[in-house]
Amino acid sequence: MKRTALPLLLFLALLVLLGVGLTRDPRAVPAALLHQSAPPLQAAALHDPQVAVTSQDLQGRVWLLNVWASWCAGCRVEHPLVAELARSAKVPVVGLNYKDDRRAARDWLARHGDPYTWVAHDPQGLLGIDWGVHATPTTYVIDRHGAIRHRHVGPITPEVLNGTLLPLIRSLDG
Amino acid sequence: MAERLTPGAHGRTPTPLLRTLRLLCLVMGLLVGLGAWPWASPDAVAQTAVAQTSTPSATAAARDAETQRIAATLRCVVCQNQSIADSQSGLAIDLRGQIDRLLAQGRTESEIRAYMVQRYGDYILYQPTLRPATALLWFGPFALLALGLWVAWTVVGPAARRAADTPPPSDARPGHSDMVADDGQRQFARRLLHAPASSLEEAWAAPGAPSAPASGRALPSEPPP
Repeated sequence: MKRTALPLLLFLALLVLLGVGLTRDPRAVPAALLHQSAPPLQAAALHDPQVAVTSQDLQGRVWLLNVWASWCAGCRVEHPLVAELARSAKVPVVGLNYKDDRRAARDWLARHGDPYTWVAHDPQGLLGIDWGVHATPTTYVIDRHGAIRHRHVGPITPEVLNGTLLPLIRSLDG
Repeated sequence: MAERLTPGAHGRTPTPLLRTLRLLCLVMGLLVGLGAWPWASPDAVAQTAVAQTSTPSATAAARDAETQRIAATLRCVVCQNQSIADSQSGLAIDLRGQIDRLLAQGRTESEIRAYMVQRYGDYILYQPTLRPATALLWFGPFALLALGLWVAWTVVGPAARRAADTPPPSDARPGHSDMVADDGQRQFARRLLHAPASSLEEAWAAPGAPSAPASGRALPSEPPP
């Protein structure tokens, strides 16, 4: 009985392993910059190309970066929740306008509302590369020490907002 | 008479069927292990040690070729089954441009790969670096193969040997040549084989002999006249 139980146990262990594997998303790419220092964000402001914006001003604060574009459908879907996030979390939400036309982006904000503290314009996607952006929308949570604590790829949903982002921000804010 | 597997001559060698099964397990395990091993794409293995195009006189065409070569060794994060050289996604185009820019700045290939990994993680490499976190990926298939071999030899092997050694059912009858006889029957058979004709009746009278017919006929299998 003991002898026949061993292959069965091994099979069950393999079953558990494969079952857990089925619950994972094969297309998910883990954030390489998690718990690392956030790359410096220095660019021209979306609203005025003469103005330079930098994330240096946000040192010592918990803040969020929302990567979006006017051509991105998911960004349109999540936009009300980004506004909700800015309201309820009471932390600065900075926008990174990714590979977008300046005029189109400004029109988009005028139409759908502008919850951002400021928006950096990244027409070539170079800042996006520095932050490891591979899809829009993407939202990062940065803590007081400038480390990226969380990255959410895809539109923010109410579950993500209330279940993940707000609790995290509250715990980081102290 | 129902067919059944004949055991091996001494009960120790496994039957042909079990031998085939074990070989099949071994071959399949080997194939799974080889298939799961993180083979590098050919370009990733053939990294040149030659210094990259950092001299001012490097032509744009040479840099283009170098960009393509390096891009072919990196996986597109968006179109995940293509390399950055092959993919036409926006990110791949941007990253090819970035590789070109970095080459123009004089970065080496390993610096460029480190740059990509720092931003996009190990996933962008076709061959993950060997770290404690990736040890399971690298050695897991071979560990599974070793486990399979161990199971085959320690569980299936003795089970096969035990099956071969099991005595036959007790309803074995003499005169049926495909049934293995018990000791008494074997002794009786030996006496019959080696005894001269005159002492056949003694062989029949000895203990262990099957009950003889009343007529005294020595060979019960002879048909009556």
